[in-house]
Amino acid sequence: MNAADGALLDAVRSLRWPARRKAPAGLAGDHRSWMRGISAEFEDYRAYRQGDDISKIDWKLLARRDRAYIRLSTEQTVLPTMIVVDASASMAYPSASLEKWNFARHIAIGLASAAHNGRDPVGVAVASEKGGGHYLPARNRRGIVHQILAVLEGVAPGGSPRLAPVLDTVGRRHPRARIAVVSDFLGDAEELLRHATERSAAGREVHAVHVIHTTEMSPSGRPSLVVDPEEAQLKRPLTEYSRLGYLENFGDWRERLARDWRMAGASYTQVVTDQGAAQAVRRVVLPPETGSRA
Amino acid sequence: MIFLAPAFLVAAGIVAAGAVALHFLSTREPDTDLLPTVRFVPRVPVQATTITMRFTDPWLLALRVLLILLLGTALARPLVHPFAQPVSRIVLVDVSRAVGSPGELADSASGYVDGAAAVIFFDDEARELEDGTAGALEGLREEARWDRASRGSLSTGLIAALRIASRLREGADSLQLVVVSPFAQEERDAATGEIRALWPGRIDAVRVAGTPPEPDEARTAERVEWADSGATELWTQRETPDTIGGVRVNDAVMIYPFVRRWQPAADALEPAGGSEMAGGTGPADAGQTRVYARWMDGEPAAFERATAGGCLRSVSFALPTEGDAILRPDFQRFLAELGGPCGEPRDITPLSGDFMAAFAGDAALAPASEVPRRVMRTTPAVPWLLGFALAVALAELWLRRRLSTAARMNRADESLRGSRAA
Repeated sequence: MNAADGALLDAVRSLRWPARRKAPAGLAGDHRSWMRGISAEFEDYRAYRQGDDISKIDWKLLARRDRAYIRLSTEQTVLPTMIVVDASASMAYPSASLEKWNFARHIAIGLASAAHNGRDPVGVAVASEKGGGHYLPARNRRGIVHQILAVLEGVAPGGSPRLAPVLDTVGRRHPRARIAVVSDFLGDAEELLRHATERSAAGREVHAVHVIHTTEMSPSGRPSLVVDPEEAQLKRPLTEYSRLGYLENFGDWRERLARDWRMAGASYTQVVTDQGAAQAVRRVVLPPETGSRA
Repeated sequence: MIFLAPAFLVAAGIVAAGAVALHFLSTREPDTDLLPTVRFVPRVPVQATTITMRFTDPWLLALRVLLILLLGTALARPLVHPFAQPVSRIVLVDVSRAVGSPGELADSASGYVDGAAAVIFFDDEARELEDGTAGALEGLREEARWDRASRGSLSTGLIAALRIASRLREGADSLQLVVVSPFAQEERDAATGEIRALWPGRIDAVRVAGTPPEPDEARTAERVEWADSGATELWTQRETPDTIGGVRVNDAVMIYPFVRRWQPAADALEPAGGSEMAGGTGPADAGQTRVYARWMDGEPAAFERATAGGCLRSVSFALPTEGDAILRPDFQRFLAELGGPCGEPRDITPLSGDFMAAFAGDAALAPASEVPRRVMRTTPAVPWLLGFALAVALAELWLRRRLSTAARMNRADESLRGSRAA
């Protein structure tokens, strides 16, 4: 763990990641569950119906209103969180500093820390050329965040790994889990969206964290021949003229991507590397009414 | 080394400079950078044209410039070792009908043709003898009969001499022009004086004997046929008679509404198979048919066929026999010419001494430098063709770039499809 990682963990130490929707039943935790149980946290009254447990009748209310009501309470549960990180060659940009990959790694660590702060089990799966070698299941034990950090530190981004199979595997192994995908979505975006749609339709939370490098947002006007890191044959000249077309095309694609993911019921957050990683993590974990969205 | 057409060399230099300039417009690929989102860059050719101050493809440039300069030099007609001699001589030999004795003509000319740079025979046209000059002169001498029918023209000979002098000017300091001719009156025309003035030096006139004068009793027409009588094969009837308003015979013109009912037969001018030719005692052109009178639009109006004793004439129009026209003086002149002697009018009297003095001049030999150069004859289409050639050269550059770019794009697309399929 380097100084930047430590600073990030300090910055998100008090951050929690509340669930956006009621979580499936599970161990006791901080998130509201679909189940209504016997916890002390009152939620609502309901008129007594024949067959209800009479021990749930609020007797004081019966005395005052002369009608029988059942006291409802909300079950609190934990929400397992899995973070899927894209480690393709497009994330290894720029090739010298790997700024984009490090930013994605910090976001993953920050999200893991925020989830762990809420006592949620948290794990990580990395889509890399190595395949299933970078996988850590969701756990709640102490030090899990540092384990995740260690896993990510051992990843060398490269190649063109597919993200959708990783998401599918994680979904099957953790059917209750909340999944956050940290990627630039330049790979198998359509298949990934299909898996996310299925999972979101099943009532699970899916978060798309779109990582963009500053240069990708606004490339230099200096004439150059730009090459795709994943497809060396794909090269285009970037000039003042083509730059305008690039900005338009890239903007349209980002809008379309955000619309598709939100239409799928997922959360979509666009983060740019010139933002602080801690701020980017806050934008992801905080509800829309409290955090700004791209 | 000198160049007879240096304009080509200048043009080649300009074109070569253009080729060098084109090589400054080089196409190169710019610096390569990685960009994960390159797929959003519009698809445009992966080459960019930049103007650079260094030559691209130096060997190709060298070949092109060399090719252009070689072509230009070749077209400029270089003389690597220009032959320079003090005097180049041009000899004009009159072989027209005015020459009385071909032997004398050959003797007079032979003293000049040895060492001459050019020998020209002329009558009504000029012919430069490329080789075999002595043989040609001997041929003149051995002709049994001087039966030349063409009239000589000094103007024609002088124009040919000027043209050849332009060619010879680079190889000599001075040019000598020798004219061997009887200098008959009929060989001079209105332009002869002006054409003579174009020669920038003296002309050595060598006079030979002319044709003996015609006998006093000129041969007249033995018979005149009138087409209206239907007794001739030289005419066919026109479908629609008309009138052209006049007829010309030699210098006499009669303006009168002659009715034109006949037109020349297809074989009218072919020589007649003449019994008169047998024996060879008649005139040399016996049996030959010539146009004797013409309508004002140029169509033949009367033919004259030479015979041993004179000539036979055939007239396609009828003369007026009454009215005021027959009283007009021009009608009398017209009638006199129509009934004049056979054959073309000849005037073989020698040219006057004044003319000969002016013709010879008293200056020295013509300096070669004062002879006009050969004019580069260009047509209005030449600049357009050169401009088109330049456009084609630019198009070649553009097309070469386009083909190269398309090939690269295709290769990139195929590679991309292959990798995606894999």
